[in-house]
Amino acid sequence: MEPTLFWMVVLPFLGSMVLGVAKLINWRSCERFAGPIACAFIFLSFFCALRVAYIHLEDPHGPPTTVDLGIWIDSANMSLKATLLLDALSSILVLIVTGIGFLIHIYSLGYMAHDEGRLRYFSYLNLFCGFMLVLLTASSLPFLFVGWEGVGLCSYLLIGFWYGDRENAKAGRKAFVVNRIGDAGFIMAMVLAFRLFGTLEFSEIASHPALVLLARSNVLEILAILLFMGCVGKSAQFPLYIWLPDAMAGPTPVSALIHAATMVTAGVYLLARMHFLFYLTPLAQECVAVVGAFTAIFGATIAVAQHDIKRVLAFSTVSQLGYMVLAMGVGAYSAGIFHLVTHAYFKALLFLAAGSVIHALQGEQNILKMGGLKTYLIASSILFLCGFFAIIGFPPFSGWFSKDLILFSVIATSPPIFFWIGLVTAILTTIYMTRLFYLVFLGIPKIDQRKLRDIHESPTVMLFPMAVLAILSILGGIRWFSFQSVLNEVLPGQIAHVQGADHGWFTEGRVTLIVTLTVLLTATITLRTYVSWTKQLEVMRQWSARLLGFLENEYQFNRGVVNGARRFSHIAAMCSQMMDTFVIDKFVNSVSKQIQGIGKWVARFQTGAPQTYVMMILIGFLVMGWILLEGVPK
Amino acid sequence: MSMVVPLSHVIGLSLILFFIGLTGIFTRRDAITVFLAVEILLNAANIAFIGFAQSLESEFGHVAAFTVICIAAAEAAIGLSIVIRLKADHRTLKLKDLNELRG
Repeated sequence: MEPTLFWMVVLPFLGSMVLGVAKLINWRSCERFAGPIACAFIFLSFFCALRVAYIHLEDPHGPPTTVDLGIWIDSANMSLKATLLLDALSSILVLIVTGIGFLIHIYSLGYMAHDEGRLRYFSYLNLFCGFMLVLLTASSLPFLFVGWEGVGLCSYLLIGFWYGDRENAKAGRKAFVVNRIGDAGFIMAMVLAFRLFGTLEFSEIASHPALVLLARSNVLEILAILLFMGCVGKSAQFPLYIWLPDAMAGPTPVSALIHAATMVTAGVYLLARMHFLFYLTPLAQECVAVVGAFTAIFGATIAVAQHDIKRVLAFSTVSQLGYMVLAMGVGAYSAGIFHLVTHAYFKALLFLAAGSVIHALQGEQNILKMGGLKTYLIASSILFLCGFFAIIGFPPFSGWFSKDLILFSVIATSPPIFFWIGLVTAILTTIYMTRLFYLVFLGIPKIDQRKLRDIHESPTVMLFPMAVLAILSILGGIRWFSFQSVLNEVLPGQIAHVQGADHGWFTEGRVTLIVTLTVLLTATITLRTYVSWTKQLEVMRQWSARLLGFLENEYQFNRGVVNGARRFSHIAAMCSQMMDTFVIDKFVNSVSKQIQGIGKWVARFQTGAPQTYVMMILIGFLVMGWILLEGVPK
Repeated sequence: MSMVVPLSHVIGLSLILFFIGLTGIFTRRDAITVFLAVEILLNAANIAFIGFAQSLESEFGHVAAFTVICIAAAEAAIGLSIVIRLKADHRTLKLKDLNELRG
């Protein structure tokens, strides 16, 4: 029993409860303190996380810290304990969640300062952190699922936070419904795992003797693919990514925390947690790699043509999540988690900077209407630039380390096509990020003068968290910050044996050089195009107008899926109506008709004439007398 | 030494009365006569009780006979008041017109 770990998980829930109760009893004067209270709780949780995670980062192979919360499910052949468990892998993510969570709470103090629903907002945000910590510290699949669904719920609540606008409410619902598809896979995976192993504890499955016997068997492959289905839903992989761009309807700090840094990486965490399973299922692992690679390039191409600053970042998140999943798919677990960590830093930073811009422009999100903001928002633009360099993989920013590591692991372990996809994705990432940066901060201001006069840099309370994240984005790749050595210790990273082996021409140094040079070249050309080759750009834009429109509409995929779903639900509704009228109603009606018939027949004996009744009594007596005298007729 | 009526005669009388009563119930058309027929049935049963009590030398038959008389008295009170209400409410005592309970 480790009280620090217990309090780390419980504190955010407590904070959420305090604020929730304050909201319920409509305590107006508490509204001013909503933010600070939430920050305090999450800070205490972060403090606990630091204390308890420190042990595991020092000694990655030490015994995990556990907290036994008692027996959760106790039935005939199944006894499930609710146990919090912290090992080296979850230590890293717990620090990310509480640390970035705390920073984003602080940012929200400024961003949501004038919002009516602060109590509700901070209550949800604390609740999210609590569920995320449950997800990360769960010791078994069902307990992880509790956190998994909990963060899904908070995501839903926060996407639809401004539910007055119908579109926001719809976006929340879409996220919830699309995630159900993945969760169905997760649940089936749990059932299957229980059938196979009779237990759902991670450690017990990992050491189960049947696991190795089943290696490469179909049933284990199916189990792995079902689990991956959950990951596809939560981590916004193709084809279930469609909820993530819509999720940008929520407040921007929420997009930064939930839809970039933490919740969407839960699927990647699940893959890392179950890596022993995917290790034994090459087919499922290949499937993971293909989906990841496809999502990476798919998201990146769409991001190139988006006009909404948050949607660009959303598709960028989809693409970067694809990178992580690709890394998982080629077995480079430590590289994938490394990228998860650096991505959490720089994507949170980018979102917060974008939020700062949106805040300054009073809700304007269209990048075509921005431009030239660097003179007005100096701090924000510099901070955005840090995130920009990190995401495109500019040395020595954090993204450079993690992206190169993934690409090197990919070329070292799998067919070159994956590497080329990864490289093209890196180029596209550079293009859309350069485009975004240019359209927002450089060039001529396209905002109307009235708005330009009101423009103001964000308050310190918003800039401070961004500054911290910027420092992390810059230094996040360096050994001391990146947890990389810890990751290599606890996860099979392929790196150890890759480094010694012969990979032909592609050595680590050459891969890094190729990627870096390509990225730098792309960034320069893109910037050059925007700055000086405007005429050619215009021609190019006209040439590719249809292609760009196609990309902007996500290859019509989203619309197709939504229309398909609508049609499907129509058909389903029709079927159920037919079932209702022709089967259920018919059955019920015929039963009642039969009973009516019987009743009518019986009613004929009720003549209303006393003589008939007397006759019946008489007959009854005679029959009874007969039975008394003769015994029961055989 | 008084003459003892043989049991078979008593039961015979009881049966005759019983069938007279039944015939009355089934053939008469108005409530009062049917009611009288029911009284005859009760008396048939009473005679049977007394006959058996005498032949078996048991007091139980006598007790039962007195009970039947009591019940018959109560039944007559209730039955006649029903008849009066029927006449008041329906202006008729013809049984074939009193068939509201017909299903």
